[in-house]
Amino acid sequence: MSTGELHRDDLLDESEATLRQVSSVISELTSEGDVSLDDPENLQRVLVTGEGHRPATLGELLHAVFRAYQEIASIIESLRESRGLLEKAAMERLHRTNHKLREVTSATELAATDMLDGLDRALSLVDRLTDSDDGEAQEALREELHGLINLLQFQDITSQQLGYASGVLTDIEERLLRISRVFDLSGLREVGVEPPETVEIEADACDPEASTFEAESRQALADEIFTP
Amino acid sequence: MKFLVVDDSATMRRIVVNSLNRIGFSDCVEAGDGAEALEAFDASVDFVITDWNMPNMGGLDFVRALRARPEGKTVPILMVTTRSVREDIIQAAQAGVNNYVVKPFTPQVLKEKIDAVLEACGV
Repeated sequence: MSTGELHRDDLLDESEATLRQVSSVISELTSEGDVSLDDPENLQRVLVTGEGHRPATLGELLHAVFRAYQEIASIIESLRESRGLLEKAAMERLHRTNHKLREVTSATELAATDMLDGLDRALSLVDRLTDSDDGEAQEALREELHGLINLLQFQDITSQQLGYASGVLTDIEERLLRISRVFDLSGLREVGVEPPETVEIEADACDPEASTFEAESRQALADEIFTP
Repeated sequence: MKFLVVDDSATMRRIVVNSLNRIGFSDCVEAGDGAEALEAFDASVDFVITDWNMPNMGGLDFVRALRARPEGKTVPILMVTTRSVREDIIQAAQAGVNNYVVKPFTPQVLKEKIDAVLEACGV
C-alpha cells in the first residue's frame, strides 16, 4: 500500500469517527431535548434558533459538524492531489504499452514480408536447379520452402490478438479520461498530462478469439456446418 | 480461372496466392478490405476468397454486398478466417458464403474446399 493510500485511509478513518460523533450528539439531543430531531423541520429550527435544546449541546453539535466539514474538505483536497498523479501514471503506461503492441505488430509484419521475399528467392533458386541429378531432393526442398511460407500465417493471427489487446487498452484510456472529466481536469493539467487522443478501433477489424491452436477441430466444426 | 483474394494482411494475401499458385491457379487479383474488393470485383472474377475481420468493410458485409449485386449472386465465395465460433460460421453461411476455411490452414485444406465449392457450383 502506497503512502498516498495510507494517508487517504487515515483521513477516511478520522472522518468516519467524526461523523459517528455527530451522530452521537444528534442522538443525545434527540433523547434529551423537548423536540424530536427525527423531523427535518424540527432539526432545522433547532440548528437555527436552538429552540427546545440546551445551548451548550447545540454548540457541541455545530462544532462536530464543522469538524466533519473540515475532514471532508481535507479528503477532497487529498483526492484532487493524488488523482492527477495516478492518472498520469496510468495513462502514460497505457500509452506506452499500446505503442509497444503496435510496434510488435509492425515488426512482425515487416519480418514476415522479408521472410516471404527470401523464401520466394529460395524457390526461384530451386527452380533453376531442376536440371541437376537429385530431383527428389529438389522437390523435398521446394516442399519445405512452401511449408515455411504457410507457417507465416502466425503473423496475421498474432496481429489480430495484439489488435484486440490494443483496442482494450484504448478503451481503458478513454474510460479513465471520462472519470477525470467527472471531477475536473485540473489535476491532469497540474501534472502536465494531455488527454489521450481518441483512437477509433473497429470492432470488426480483429478477432479476439484468433488462435494458432486447434485449427483442425475448429475446421471440423466449419465442415460440419457446411457439409450438406 | 481468376481469383479475387481479399485480406487486410499483406502476409496472408501472399500466403493464399502462393497456395493458389501451387495448386495451379495463377490468375489472382488482391484487395485489402471489403470496400476495395467491391471495386475490384467484376464479371471476370470466377472465385472469391475473403477474410472476415478487416477494417473499413469486413468480410461478412462484403459478401452480403456482393450477393446483392447481379454479377455477384452466383460467384463462388470461400471465407478464410480465424473466426471459428459456431454462430459466426452459421452467420457466414447465411450471408452467402459457399464454404469456410479456418486459419491457420494447410494448402491441402484450401484445395479441398476450392474443389468442393467448384463442384457444388457446377464449375
